[in-house]
Amino acid sequence: MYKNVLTLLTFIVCTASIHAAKLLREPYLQSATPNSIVIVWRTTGMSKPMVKFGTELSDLNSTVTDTILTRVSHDVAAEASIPRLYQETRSDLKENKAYLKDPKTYNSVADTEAPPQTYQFEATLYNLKPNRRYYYAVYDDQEKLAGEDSSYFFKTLPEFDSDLPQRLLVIGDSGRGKPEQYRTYESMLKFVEDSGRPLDMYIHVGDMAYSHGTDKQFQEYFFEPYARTLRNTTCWPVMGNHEGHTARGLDGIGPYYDAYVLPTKGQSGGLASGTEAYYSYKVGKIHFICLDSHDLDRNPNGSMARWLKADLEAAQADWLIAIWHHPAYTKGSHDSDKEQDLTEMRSFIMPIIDEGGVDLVLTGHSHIYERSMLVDGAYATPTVAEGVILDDGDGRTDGDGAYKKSKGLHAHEGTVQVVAGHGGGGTLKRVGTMPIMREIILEFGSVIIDIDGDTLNGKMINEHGQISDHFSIIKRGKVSSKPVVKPWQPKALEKE
Amino acid sequence: MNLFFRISLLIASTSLTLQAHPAPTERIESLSKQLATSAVHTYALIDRGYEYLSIYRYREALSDFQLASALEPQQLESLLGECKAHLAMNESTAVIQKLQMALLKPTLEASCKNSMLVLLSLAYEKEQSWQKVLAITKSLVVQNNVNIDTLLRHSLALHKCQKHSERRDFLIQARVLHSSVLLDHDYIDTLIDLQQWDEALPLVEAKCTASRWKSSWWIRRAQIYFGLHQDAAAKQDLSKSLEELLARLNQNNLRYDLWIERALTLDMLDRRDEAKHILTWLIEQDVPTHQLDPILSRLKAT
Repeated sequence: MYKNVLTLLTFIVCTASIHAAKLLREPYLQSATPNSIVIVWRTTGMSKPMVKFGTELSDLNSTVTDTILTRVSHDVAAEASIPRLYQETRSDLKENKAYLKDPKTYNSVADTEAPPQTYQFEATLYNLKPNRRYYYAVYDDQEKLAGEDSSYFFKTLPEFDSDLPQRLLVIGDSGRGKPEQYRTYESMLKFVEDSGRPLDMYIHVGDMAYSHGTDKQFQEYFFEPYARTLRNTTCWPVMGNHEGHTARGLDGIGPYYDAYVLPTKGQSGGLASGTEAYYSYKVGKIHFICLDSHDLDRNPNGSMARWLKADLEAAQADWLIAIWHHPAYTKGSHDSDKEQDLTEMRSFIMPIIDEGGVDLVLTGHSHIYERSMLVDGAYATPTVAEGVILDDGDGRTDGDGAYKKSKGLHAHEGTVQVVAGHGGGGTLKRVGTMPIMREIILEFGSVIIDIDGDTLNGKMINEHGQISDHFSIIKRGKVSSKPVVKPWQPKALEKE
Repeated sequence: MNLFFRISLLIASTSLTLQAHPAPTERIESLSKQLATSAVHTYALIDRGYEYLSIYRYREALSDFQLASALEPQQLESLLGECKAHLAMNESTAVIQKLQMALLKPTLEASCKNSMLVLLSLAYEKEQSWQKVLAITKSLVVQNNVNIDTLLRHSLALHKCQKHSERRDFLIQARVLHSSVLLDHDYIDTLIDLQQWDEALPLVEAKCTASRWKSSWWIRRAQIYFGLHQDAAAKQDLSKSLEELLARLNQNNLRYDLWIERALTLDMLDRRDEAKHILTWLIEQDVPTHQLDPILSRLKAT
């Protein structure tokens, strides 16, 4: 009798699983523009994907079924024209550090690739109104998979000439599933809620899926922990070295590139890069540039640097923010005076950044929070402070005063460098003292950046919800910049 | 493989993984301890080789990769590592020899062969053997899913080999398949190379209007104006270019491309001595010769 019931139950479960797709990855937002957005989600098993959306939660009166790209895991028996999710090849294994560490126990599907029978849906919603909140839900035919509650919404970008205030969340080196990662995230959420000002975008500066950026690690350490934010806030990522263990920037393949749908054609406001490895986007009068510092040619004549120069030359904005993984200046768990990836970002890329008039550089990789003074022209190895610090104050309106730059975009008026590799994924460490830094903090946390008109305010929120650092940049009038003679210096470590 | 070594390597890797991603020096230290206390293992050598590469210790990297190749000659990862180390030390002849041999193997997987071909083209590029670079990029671009880097290298090789018409036709096709502003820029430059002034002018005009920094576009427009015998308009653009470049360059500036633009502008304005002065300074700064090509070839011609 017991056996018969079990058989019947198994039959019912199997039949149900044949007919109903199961949500495998919650919906998340990509490639926002003022008039469009991409919603991505995954199911196990075949589905008839549909998105319903509308400006009122109670009335999702628009439906999208025809502009949904479907990609499937390679085991799915589907037409050859349907794009596949990443399948590891023999030659990929030669560059896969997980495989190199232990080739005999390595299992591509378990370790790197999407689970069997995975369907990934990428729905592009067009003809939207700028700066408008829409609620949405994703469906398998008539069955709702997710959404239709007040947390499932997206907001289109404001028009490119709008100067509406923007709030950015910056997290780096987070994805290991450790308690520190969750505490950092929860404390940030509480800070945002208490402040009454929601996030407008989520920037991840890389190392979001330790240790090898596999599909499973993306799911467990990135998509699941941050689902509450990802469902209503567009995420703009750059690739870290750990994602780079299983992904290749040159060809744009691997779990990292499966996870993201990034603007390659300049549709979000920058110039077309032709690759998801580096791209730009514009939110109102803020222009963002995202680079791959891990596995592409960093040479000034390489494609990425050439594109960067072109993008900066064309950029029309009030603010310029550059984002990549390997910091040009750090003495945290990594040393930018000794490691090639970091040194090259400083000597090859920073001259373009400084000359392009960039205001803020956001990076990770080094497990520490470091925030610089106002710096220009620091390309020497080892990095020295003499001759490169334009303002050696603390950058605080309640202290030495905000860092001041001229209105508009001007070459060589200084950048503030923020190393945010303290997102909870690694052990905090400081190997020395980077002389251009104003704040060096060994705490887990995230960074909130608020930009309103001519003022940028940055805050480091630690894992306990306290503000451990804050700074401001004000761009007003005409400011003449000269390097400070004998600039302020951070306190050295005792052993130095 | 030595079981003890595998277990100890696994333990070491696990402890490092839990700790964080270690700095290259720490990882080298850990791998060296493992290699010293147990049987030499190919993957540990390769791993250490890449860590050495990342901190500019190319000879040690090469030595590790060579040892790994000797232990497992069929292991292509160590061969690629060897080539990367050689390339970093500007030893392109060694790269060419190794890859030519390896490419003769009949059982090579297509994607692996492509990685080798890309490395080989880089080695030929270092030797300024542009015909050979072109032969390789040609074989790569006919394949599907070619990346933007290969397309741009092919465009560059066509330019270096003075195949301007072929380059124009290639770029027309490539721009349909791939959106990239760099392909667009190459296309404009090809039209200028082909002296198709009327086709190039509206494209350059649009860039002059849209760009925040305009010097490179003013220089291009001046070339077109000279071609159309509108010398006054050309000189006006060049003067504007000089003025803008002055505002962008400062004593700390390592943007050699901007100094090259400045030298080019001065030369086009017949201020050759000033152009040569900048060129001499750029050569003293060890700027690679191929970067100086635009100004060198112009000075040679005049």
